[in-house]
Amino acid sequence: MLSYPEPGPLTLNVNGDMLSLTPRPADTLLYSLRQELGLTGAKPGCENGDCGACTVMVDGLPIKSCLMLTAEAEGREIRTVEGLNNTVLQDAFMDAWAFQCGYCTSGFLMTAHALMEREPEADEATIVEWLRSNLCRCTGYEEIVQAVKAALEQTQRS
Amino acid sequence: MIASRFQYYRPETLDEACQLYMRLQEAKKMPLYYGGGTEILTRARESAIRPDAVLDIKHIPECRRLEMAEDTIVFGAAVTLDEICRTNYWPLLSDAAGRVADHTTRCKITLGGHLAGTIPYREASLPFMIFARDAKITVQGPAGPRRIPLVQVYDGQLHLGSAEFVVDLSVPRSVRDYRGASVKTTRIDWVDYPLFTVTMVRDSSGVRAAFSGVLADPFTSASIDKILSGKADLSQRARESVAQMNPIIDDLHGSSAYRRFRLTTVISQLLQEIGE
Ligand code: FES
Ligand code: FES
Repeated sequence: MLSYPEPGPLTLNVNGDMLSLTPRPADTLLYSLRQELGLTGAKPGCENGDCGACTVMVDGLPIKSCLMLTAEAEGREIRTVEGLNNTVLQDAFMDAWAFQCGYCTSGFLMTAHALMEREPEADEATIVEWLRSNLCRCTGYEEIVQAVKAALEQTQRS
Repeated sequence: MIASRFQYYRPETLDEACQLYMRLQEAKKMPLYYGGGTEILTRARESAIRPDAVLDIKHIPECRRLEMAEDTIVFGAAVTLDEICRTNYWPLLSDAAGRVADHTTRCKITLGGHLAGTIPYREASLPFMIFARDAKITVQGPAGPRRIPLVQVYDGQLHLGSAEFVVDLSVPRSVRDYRGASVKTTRIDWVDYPLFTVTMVRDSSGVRAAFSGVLADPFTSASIDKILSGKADLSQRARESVAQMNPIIDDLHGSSAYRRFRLTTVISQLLQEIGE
């Protein structure tokens, strides 16, 4: 049985790299990514599972990293916004001006990236249903939906 | 950040989880079984709970079963609501589970955690409550696993003994044959705490319904089912059944008068939807 009664070393697979850290057993993945690994792309918003700013991908699924323990993530494939490089989706966000302050953007990108991988044929209703997991206080929702649609269309064309 | 210090364990068998739980209890610690962990983490962050240890049951194969056999459908306690919706073995359950929280959070919330949590809505339990006499639950405890009728331990709240946890829920495959629908209402936004949820089914004996967000806990009622199965017009049946519900929750999400008004509309709409 895997156990972490005390803070102890563990290894996480983040963006394909095996990274060592020493979290407390009660540390969330969000906390460890930012404070121990310096991966600050996942943002702390509510830390209560409501806003989605902390969203990362775990085994291909969107997960709010404030709702996952670091110990729980051991043995799983974690992908953060730092692992996206010049993707069609990121370009589409730029083209559609799908952000204002940008605080929510990495969360939206990770939700949308997971959607593109899992539901490459997603219609608008599915896109909206997935994106409802994230909040944008600058309320740029329309542009965000347009960006995801454009990225999906471009991926389908190619 | 979660200030409290708790230990993390990942048992791999039912026995290992239960034995560890008891050992921790004997050592005067407060262990918690941990499924999706969404409620445990949010409450621990607020210091509303201070567990000494969490026992992550997601790696116990029996808790991860999600199967449709010839005559039974099994939903493991550590299966996520998203997995339930995606496999769609029981469309009525997918309807109810698919309106809990938001899509990303449903990738983490597990069926067992949803039933055992303190958040009172437990919308995904409504289809099981309608079929409570046919639904079975497997509970792991110090004496091993026992499979019993759901009604013995769930009446809108889960009543388990010390060191016990839910392994799975199962229903006969025939539940798929009945015409049913589920509606969750919210005050403003699509993703929000529910005002209430109503799930309804029609079978040869009449209409059966389950409600959450109306009284303190989810409930079913034989007298309401009788009214819903009657011959009066749909809106009268709806009004009469709402008149049976007392005391209706009155909170920030909606006053009891508002809930009563919305309930009447939603019940009529659902009756129509299931072919009354
Ligand atoms: S910070 Fe995780 S959902 Fe808001
Ligand atoms: S762009 Fe500012 S919160 Fe979304």
